[in-house]
Amino acid sequence: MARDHRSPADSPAPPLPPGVRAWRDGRVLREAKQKYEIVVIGCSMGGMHALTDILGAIPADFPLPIAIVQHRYKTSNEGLPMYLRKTSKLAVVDVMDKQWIKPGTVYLAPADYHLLVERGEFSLSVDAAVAYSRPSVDVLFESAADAYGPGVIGVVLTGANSDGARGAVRVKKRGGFMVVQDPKTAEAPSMPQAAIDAAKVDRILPLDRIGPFLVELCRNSR
Amino acid sequence: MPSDSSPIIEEQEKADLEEIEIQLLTEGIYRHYGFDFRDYSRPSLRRRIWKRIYAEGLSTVSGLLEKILHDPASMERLLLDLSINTTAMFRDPTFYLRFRQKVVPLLRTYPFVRIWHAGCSTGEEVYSMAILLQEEGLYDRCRIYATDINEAVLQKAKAGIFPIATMQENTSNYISAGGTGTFSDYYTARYDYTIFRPSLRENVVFAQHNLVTDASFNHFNVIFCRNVLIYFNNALQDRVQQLFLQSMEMFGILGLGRKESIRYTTVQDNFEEIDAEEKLYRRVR
Repeated sequence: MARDHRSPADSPAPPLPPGVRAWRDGRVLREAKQKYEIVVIGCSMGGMHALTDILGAIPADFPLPIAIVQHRYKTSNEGLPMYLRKTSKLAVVDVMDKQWIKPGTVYLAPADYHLLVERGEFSLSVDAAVAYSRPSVDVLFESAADAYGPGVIGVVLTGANSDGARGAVRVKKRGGFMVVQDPKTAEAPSMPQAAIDAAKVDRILPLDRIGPFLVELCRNSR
Repeated sequence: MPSDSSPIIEEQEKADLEEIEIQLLTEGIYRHYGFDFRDYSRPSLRRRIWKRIYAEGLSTVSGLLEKILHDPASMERLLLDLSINTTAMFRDPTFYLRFRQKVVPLLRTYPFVRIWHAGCSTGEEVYSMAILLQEEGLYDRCRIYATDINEAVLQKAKAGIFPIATMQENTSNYISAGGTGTFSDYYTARYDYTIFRPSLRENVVFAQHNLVTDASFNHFNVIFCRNVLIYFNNALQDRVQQLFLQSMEMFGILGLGRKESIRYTTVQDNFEEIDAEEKLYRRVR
């Protein structure tokens, strides 16, 4: 096998493998193990079951905050958080405006509000529905990508629309990691399929593998 | 060697540059037009700005800055984008229900009630409150000051004309909010629109007021400001809460949106909770 004698400066920048990020140190580009900072999850039809499955697999010492948009009725109140608290070992809350983002907590977009991410805190909006949805997965993902760049892990789950596809594109553009539920294992396949079609996602996994995979990914990045 | 052109770094640099551009845009708007969006919460502001950039056929925030500085009509359009909040009649019906149950009995003991509805947008919630007060027999001794930053939405609010397509939702909200009459008695339908009874706005004053730059203009027994503060950052929320406090009679009532709170603001010790879930507070000091 011929050795490659080209100096590193001549070779094109290799694609960064998952879990690795780069930053500039003076004029030199350095790479390091990725440090993920937030997990964002989007789901719609069938999401209650999918979330139960994933949250059930996540241990109480999970090091990242998890923000979730599950499409829900305008008037739904404490039902969803109460339901998820049954299986989650993490605290589950409906987000209040400007609430601080803390690791090891599950944050739900409240009914009839968009959930947006700033560095360190959430903010809410009652702007028009995006792709017929408020809360909208795209709004959560795009704002998370803007705020945390490569520190975002996005997860698109079951749903009967295409919300989340644009968000997945933004997450990838900013160097984040995208996991999508295998449409074959989804109650409603069109939402994960739309994300796969729109973005170069990193992993397509059956539902029961997603929770353990997130745990693994975050453990490796610490 | 990976060069300086790592795509992730490029994107980060673009994002950093965009933040500078947004600061220049809001500064330019403030200095030229007097509207102060500098302390608006970033993620929503960014979305709204980009919506306008695309609608104007532009591609950068600086491009929008140039356009709005030299073309006041485009500033009007941006102002609409930045200031319109979607609303509905009896939005969050349980808020009105709790107001009926817990606040109306207090108001009955007052000879006269001044209400400030700050950030009333197109007026749906002002008409909702007028209906509630009429049904409780309190309307004649109430005066509602309904204000918004945006003159265009105030004109809509004054007209009291709303699309008929929203009436199904409005009616179901009215019922959940504890309405004691028949909702359709309050409006007349014509073509695709409904016109609300003029008697509902007899005691309403619609006026332009900017929460960010204008001062207190009266003392009130009730202040509503629902789903407006979520668009502000913490520092600005605090300033506006201070403005409300200055404008509030002792034992006055403050009503915020469901997901807003006075916790962690500098006025939290001035209020006690009347209803934790519906964010109704009473000034106690």
